Order: sequence, then C-alpha cells, then structure tokens
Amino acid sequence: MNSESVKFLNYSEIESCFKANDFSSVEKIFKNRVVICSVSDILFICEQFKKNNINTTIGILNDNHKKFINSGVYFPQIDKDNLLDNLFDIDENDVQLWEKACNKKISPRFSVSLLALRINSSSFWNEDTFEEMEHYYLNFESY
Amino acid sequence: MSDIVLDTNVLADFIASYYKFEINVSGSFEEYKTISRFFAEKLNLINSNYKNYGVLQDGVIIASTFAFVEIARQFEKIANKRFSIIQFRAFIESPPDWFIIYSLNEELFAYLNLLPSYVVMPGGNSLTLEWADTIHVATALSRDEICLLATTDGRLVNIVDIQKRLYL
Repeated sequence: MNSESVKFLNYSEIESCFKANDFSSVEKIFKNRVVICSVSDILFICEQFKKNNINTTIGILNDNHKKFINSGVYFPQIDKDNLLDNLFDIDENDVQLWEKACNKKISPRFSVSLLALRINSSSFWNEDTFEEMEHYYLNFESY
Repeated sequence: MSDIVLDTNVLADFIASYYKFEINVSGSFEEYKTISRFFAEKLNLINSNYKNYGVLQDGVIIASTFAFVEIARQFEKIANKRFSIIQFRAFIESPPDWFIIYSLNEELFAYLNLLPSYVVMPGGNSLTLEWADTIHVATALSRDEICLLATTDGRLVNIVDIQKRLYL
C-alpha cells in the first residue's frame, strides 16, 4: 500500500465532523484510501466537547462516535505489542526509551500519537503518513 | 473477587516492588509506598493461588498501556532508580500471568464520556479532568462492574460516581 492510499485524519478534521454531526466527508475520503487516526485525538474530542459544551449531550457524542467508527476509520491502538515495538530503541548493546515520544516536553496526546503511528514491521502505512501526523502536531507543540 | 486497575503511580510502585521483593523468583509483596499492607496481602493471595493452583479466582491486576507510556515520559522521576529501562521492558514483555496490560483504544470513548469534566475538591474548588487523567477510570469502567481502581490521584478519588470502585 503506498502513501497515496493512506490518509491521516487530523484532530481538526475529526472535530469538524463532530461539530457538524456529519461524517460524509470522511466517507468521501474512503473512496480511494484507508483513513487512520490517532486514538488520543478521538479521546481528546470527548474531553473537549464535554468541557466546552459543544453541540452535545452524552447521547449525541456517543452517536457521533459510532457514526465515525462505522465510517471505517482505523485507529492503531497502543497495546502490549505496540509498547514493545515502539516505546524503546534497541540495539545489540543497549535498550533506551524512544526519546521522541518519551519526554514531558510534549503532551500525552502527542506522545500517544507518535507511538501509535511509529513505523514498525506491522505498519501498513509508511513514513509519509507518520510525518503528516507529526507535522500536524508540530504546528502546536515543539520537541 | 474483584480485578484491580492501577494508575500510573501505583503501577510504578508495583513494578518497583516486583523487582525489590523478587516476585519473579519466589518473593512476596510487602507494604511499600502506595502498596498498603492490605493490598500486598491481596497481591500475594493472587500470586500464590495462581502459582499453586493455576486459578485466578482472586481477580487479576490490570494497567492501561497508557500508564506505561506515562512512566516512560518521566522515567527518571518516576522510576527513580528503583528499576531500570531494561527491567521496565522485561516487565512489559513478560508480566506475571495474573497481570493484564490493557490496550489504549478508541472503545474507551464511551466510558470517558460517562465521566465529568470537572471535579469538586473537599475545599470546594473545582479542578478540570482531562482525558489523560481519567484513562485509568475509563479502563476500570470498561471492565465488569466490580473492577476496582487503585489510585492516589486527588482529583480521581473525588469523582462522586466512582467512589464504590476505589481500592486504596
């Protein structure tokens, strides 16, 4: 699968769909591509919409969440295997934490996104998709 | 018996205990920082019943992968030379069979949605709750209704709706 066929849907794009209660734009993207999101972005949506009382009740938020999931977006999860593959840098002589994601200079949201989308042997997306995510966050945060 | 979800600080003390008391060899948990004597006894019961009889009737211990990420984000401060990066990775790779490393996934959305955005503290002031603070609560809620939460976070222990689930 080449990078053309994988689209990273960033927080602003997800937020727009939730605000409009309309996920048709995601469905259009799907015609040609796989859409992936960061799990921390969808959890952040929940926090932000509740905190700011944006267009929402618990029921509406859950309904929109279901619609979004049913549109077929893919969320690379942070599971045990992901931790083993992505949380560490390993060479023959040393094990270190992956400094880019493992520091307090960036938000937990950014750390989780880096870990979820870091390229490893099971990733079906490539470096371009990872960089798209990284650049999006770097507009708001810095290492 | 109830399962117990650990928050980040309790998980760090648990991993430190795991190596300090050589649980992976034949040691026993003891009272240590956030691990109370009562909690240590519960851990020893789970461990011994699993070792001797292969049963999990006393529940399992659970931590979200996010708790491991939080430890990694401030490793020197939280681990504080109590365990090394190699030991940290070894624990993730081979935790005891009665310890579950629970995925951070989008299914937690519905459980986060059940939680308030703010919590009122005993002094009357309100503090905000962010998704990263409440992942451990959502993880407990996503399990069955008797899954408990071991947390020392002053905000989490004041969420009214989860009082019955607090363990420490």
